Amino acid sequence: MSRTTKDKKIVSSRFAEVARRYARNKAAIIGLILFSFILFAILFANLVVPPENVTAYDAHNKLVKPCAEHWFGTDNLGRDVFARVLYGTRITVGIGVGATLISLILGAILASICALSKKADFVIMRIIDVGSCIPSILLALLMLAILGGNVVNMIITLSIASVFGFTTQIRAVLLSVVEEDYVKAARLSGTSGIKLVFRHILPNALDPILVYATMTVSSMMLSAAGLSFIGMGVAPPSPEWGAMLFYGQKYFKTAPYLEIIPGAAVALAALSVNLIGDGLRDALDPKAIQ
Amino acid sequence: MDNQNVILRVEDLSVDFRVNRKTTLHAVRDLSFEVRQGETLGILGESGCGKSVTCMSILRLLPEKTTAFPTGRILFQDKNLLTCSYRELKEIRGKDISMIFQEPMTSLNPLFTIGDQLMEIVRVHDPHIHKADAREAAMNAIEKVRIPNPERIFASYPFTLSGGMQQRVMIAMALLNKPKLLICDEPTTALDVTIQAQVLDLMNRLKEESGTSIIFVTHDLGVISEMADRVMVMYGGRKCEEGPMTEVFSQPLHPYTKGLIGSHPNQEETRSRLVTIPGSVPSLADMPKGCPFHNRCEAAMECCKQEFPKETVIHAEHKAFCYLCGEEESNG
Amino acid sequence: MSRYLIKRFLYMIPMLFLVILFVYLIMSFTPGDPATNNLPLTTPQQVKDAYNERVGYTGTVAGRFFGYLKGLASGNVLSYTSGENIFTELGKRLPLTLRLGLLSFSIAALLGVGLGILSAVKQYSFLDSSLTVIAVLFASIPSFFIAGVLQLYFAVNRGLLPSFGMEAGWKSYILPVSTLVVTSIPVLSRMTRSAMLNALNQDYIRTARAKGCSEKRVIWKHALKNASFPIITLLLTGLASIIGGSVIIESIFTLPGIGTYLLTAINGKNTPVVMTCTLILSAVFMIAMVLMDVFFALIDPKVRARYQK
Repeated sequence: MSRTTKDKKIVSSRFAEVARRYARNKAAIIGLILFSFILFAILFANLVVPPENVTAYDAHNKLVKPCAEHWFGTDNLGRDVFARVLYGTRITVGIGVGATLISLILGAILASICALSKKADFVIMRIIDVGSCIPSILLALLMLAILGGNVVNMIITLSIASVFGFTTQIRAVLLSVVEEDYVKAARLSGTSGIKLVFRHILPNALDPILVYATMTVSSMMLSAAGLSFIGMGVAPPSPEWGAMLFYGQKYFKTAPYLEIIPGAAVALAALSVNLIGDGLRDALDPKAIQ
Repeated sequence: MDNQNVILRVEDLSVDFRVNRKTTLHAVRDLSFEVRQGETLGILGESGCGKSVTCMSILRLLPEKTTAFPTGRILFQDKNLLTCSYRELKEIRGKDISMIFQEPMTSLNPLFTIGDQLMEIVRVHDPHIHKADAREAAMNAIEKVRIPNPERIFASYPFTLSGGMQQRVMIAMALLNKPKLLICDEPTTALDVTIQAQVLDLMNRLKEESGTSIIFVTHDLGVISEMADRVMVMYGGRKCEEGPMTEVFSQPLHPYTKGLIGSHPNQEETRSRLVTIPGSVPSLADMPKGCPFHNRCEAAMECCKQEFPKETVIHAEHKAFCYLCGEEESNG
Repeated sequence: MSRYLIKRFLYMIPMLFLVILFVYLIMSFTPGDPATNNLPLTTPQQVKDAYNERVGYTGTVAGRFFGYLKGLASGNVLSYTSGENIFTELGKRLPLTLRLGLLSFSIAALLGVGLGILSAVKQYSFLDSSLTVIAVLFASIPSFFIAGVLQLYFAVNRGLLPSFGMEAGWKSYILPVSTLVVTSIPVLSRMTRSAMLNALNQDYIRTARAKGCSEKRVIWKHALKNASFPIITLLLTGLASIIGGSVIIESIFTLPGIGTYLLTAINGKNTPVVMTCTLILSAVFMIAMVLMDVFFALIDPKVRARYQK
């Protein structure tokens, strides 16, 4: 058997083992089902509702209660809430996943540099010391005030605000892996630099990083919705859930669904990701104490 | 048999671990043995044979509520430790029965001084004792285990001590309340060989002084031959042979015991190769039916695969659980 | 130890300097001067210049930064929008935020850590699993949604409590504090639980049990002391999230605290206010961090040994 096929076999059997353990966890399965609905909403929203419904005003049908025609009712401008919530998935979940991916990559690069060079580690860690003294929501607020609120800026802002935390986390994992005997062995046998990071360090540090990243997606989504809620995030008429909730709030006496439906959407999205994260953690490391 | 002499009697002990709804692992099955006044009973076996679990279940240190279900009886001073109340159990732990563990480095609480931890075992069992008296008792105990500079050790934290020193502290702690029985779960496995010899020597001396009975668990034949009066050999959660140490070593009856002794290097003999036991210890999850050793046993027969053999009594002291032993008896 | 403390507090000064420098650099990208941003468009240039002069917006970017530092040292920094001294404005707002934050933090810490310990001690029990489910659910609900539901239920529908403002005295605190507490507890209790379980699974816990220690003693003396390290670290994160969360909470309940002050300042490009508020919030966080290190040094003999050298 050649080396690569053997490697592949080990990887696939580990994957099967993790998948089997994951499938035994009911909560994790619920999370996955919820997330597949979200994924469906992101990919196929235009098959269910035409995109123009999101911003289509209907002066005759303002604040209609949920009914057969408008499943989630209409808002104060007569827009269909179902269409808006459905398309809002792309925004909130997109921001959450996008910002996590960017800060994951940035954090991984910075942390790898830290793990390889003691000097760079010192400099980077001092910068992070300063950065992590500013509450991340404050940092996000500041940057949004300058950049202005839209989806791309939200992603940039949130990923920068959380890159400090990410780097610290990944660095801790990497440093513990660097101390392992197999990395020392690889170093002794002459592997160094980028090859050492990609072949020996990162693969072995992947599990905890993956779990941390999953959990971050949910906190990013909550932050994104929170920022839009206080008017600093994605501006209307974009159907951002937090912003929808804010504008719906004014009508909570007559139309509480305008507040409850976007709120529930945020909560369900965050819940699905949290459940998946929990499930992954348990499946990847069954011995760890939950 | 002289009942006066027996200090601990274990009858039909079985310990099951419920891993999840479907799987239950039988860590120990139908184990019976006894410990007599002043003797050292060695329990010998490879890792995973249930020896540690047996020790833990005597003091009920296994997570009972959730995973471990011990059944049978463990009689100590006419009390069944498996069913006695938590209060009674608490009285016995650390006072009548003490225990020493395998990992001295992690067995001491890192945040309390050695003195605190030694005094605790006195004060827990005698809440009204004067602090000075507890301190004196602790200092005496440190001196007994021959730690140099006891004053300094008393005030220091575990992380400043070496593994050997920490194990000495554990021994001092275990013997502080002059227990009737001391359970040692691989106490020297984690130590260097030279330190190991010192600790074993110390234990033997302390045992002679105090007359405490000892259960000494190990996988090391050399260690057990220095410590034990009688030996019980375990495999796959079951007892396979029991007898006086010298007799078991000179005339092992069970094929597993023979294999163990054969695979141990001997200084007097010079063999070109050590005998090995083929295969490896089956995991608890797929323990074979019948005699757990049959798939590694060269002399296995059809009946071995079906049912665990009954006890064969060679003489009052020496017993084995193997179909072959019975045959040898009738032949000879 | 005292030398170490002094060192740590001195170390805070350059850190805080970097924090405000960083904030200043970000804010300096915002277009317009205070007069253009705050006075009507038709204001003559002379008036504008006078306004800028008065609030200290003169000279170069670097010059203004040092001007701000000077003002900070003498306790006289002017707000770009009101032209008042920031410290008088802060004096009115800081107590509210501090009270809100400290109250929420103490309640959340007490409940979160308490529930976490309870969960760990009763692992696998019905209580434990239901607490876990509740924690996962509440960790997913955004704070502003919880605030909205609380407002709807207790203020709008029943009229029991005020839904915004500070006019009703202690009653005004109930909803904001509850919101902050409810959103911080899930993380605190879950992490405390795992820290406690981790401690309870250590070998020295088995030793303590074998010694004959009561279960109470095992939990409260042996396990909790060891679990206090991750728990304290965790409380620090909790404090940070409450500091950050207070910005959102104050804006939902329209409370006149630092959070709303900061938010309006950010929107109004009021650089001195933004810098000062960030300075205060970061300083609170840094002091908490120093306190945490002191606690570690007090409780961990290994750390203590390092300082005594």
